[in-house]
Amino acid sequence: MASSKGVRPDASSSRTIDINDAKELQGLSVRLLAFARRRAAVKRWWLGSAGALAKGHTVQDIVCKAMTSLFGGSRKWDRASQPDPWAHLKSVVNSLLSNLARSKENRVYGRDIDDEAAVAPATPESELLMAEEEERLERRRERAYSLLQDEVLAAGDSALLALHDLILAEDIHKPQELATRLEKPVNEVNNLKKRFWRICRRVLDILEKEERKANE
Amino acid sequence: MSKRDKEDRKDVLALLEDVADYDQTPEEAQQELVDDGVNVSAFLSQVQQAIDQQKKEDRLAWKREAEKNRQAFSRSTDVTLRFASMSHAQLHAAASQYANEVHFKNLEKQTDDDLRTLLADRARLEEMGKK
Repeated sequence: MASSKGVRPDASSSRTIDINDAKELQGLSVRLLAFARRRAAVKRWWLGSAGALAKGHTVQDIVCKAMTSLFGGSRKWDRASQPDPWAHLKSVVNSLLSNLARSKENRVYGRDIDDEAAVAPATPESELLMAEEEERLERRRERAYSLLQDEVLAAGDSALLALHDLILAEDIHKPQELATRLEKPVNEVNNLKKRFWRICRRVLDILEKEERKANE
Repeated sequence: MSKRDKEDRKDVLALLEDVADYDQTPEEAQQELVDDGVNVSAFLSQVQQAIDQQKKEDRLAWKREAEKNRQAFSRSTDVTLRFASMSHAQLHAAASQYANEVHFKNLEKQTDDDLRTLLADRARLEEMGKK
């Protein structure tokens, strides 16, 4: 059995994390839950909210699974390939959420059909349903990005608007690259992202309300 | 970017996924969770329980592995007959091949039956290793 002792660099704050320290472990857990909730909020879930995902899982379940991977299991932390436990945890959460979001149980249409039927050739009806769903998602995407732009413009912050454009128009995400383009230090970009996320949350809430209303 | 990543990028609002990834202190994260109505204490208990269970399973993993190996060994073919007609010198020479792995206190004093058992067990283990 490999020892679970370990002091590893925390890339996010340039300090070390001791996974055998109860307080450090709690800190990692709450940071990971907050991160996982935000990532889940951006994905599309059959049940409509980020609290309940697919296959009966909640975000808390996903985070628990990720946290246990520091000590064993099928996704056990490999210190040699990834010395930073925080990077490992985020990668496990991303992978688990992505698997759930793409699972058959999370499909909006055709989710009740069995595996055999799932590989059957598409019928005109199923193709129509798929096209309608694609169209609905496209409308949702356009609505979301338009709402975001309105909200960012309303905030009246040129740095925030520049961040919005870099992420949404130029698809730039790396903190260092954003910092260079914005001509700001990385920690300031991090604070901008926090503010931008709060706007995203508002937009996601508006979208959810609108969808609920449309389904009534 | 992998094919899967590219497919994910097509998903709704995927461009916002990285906005959701920013540095936070544990205190900031806790405040965010509390503001969202999350019961942080209950969550931390759930995590601790899951970790304790994982640590327990990890501690017992050797036992499961040993049992699995024991069962696989008992299912493997007994090859004692392969060594039945060997002379003492031949058995001794064959056993000497494993000098680095098998440590007999007095290899030269072992009986032919002991050497046959040793060689048969080694052959079975090697056979299992190939599968």
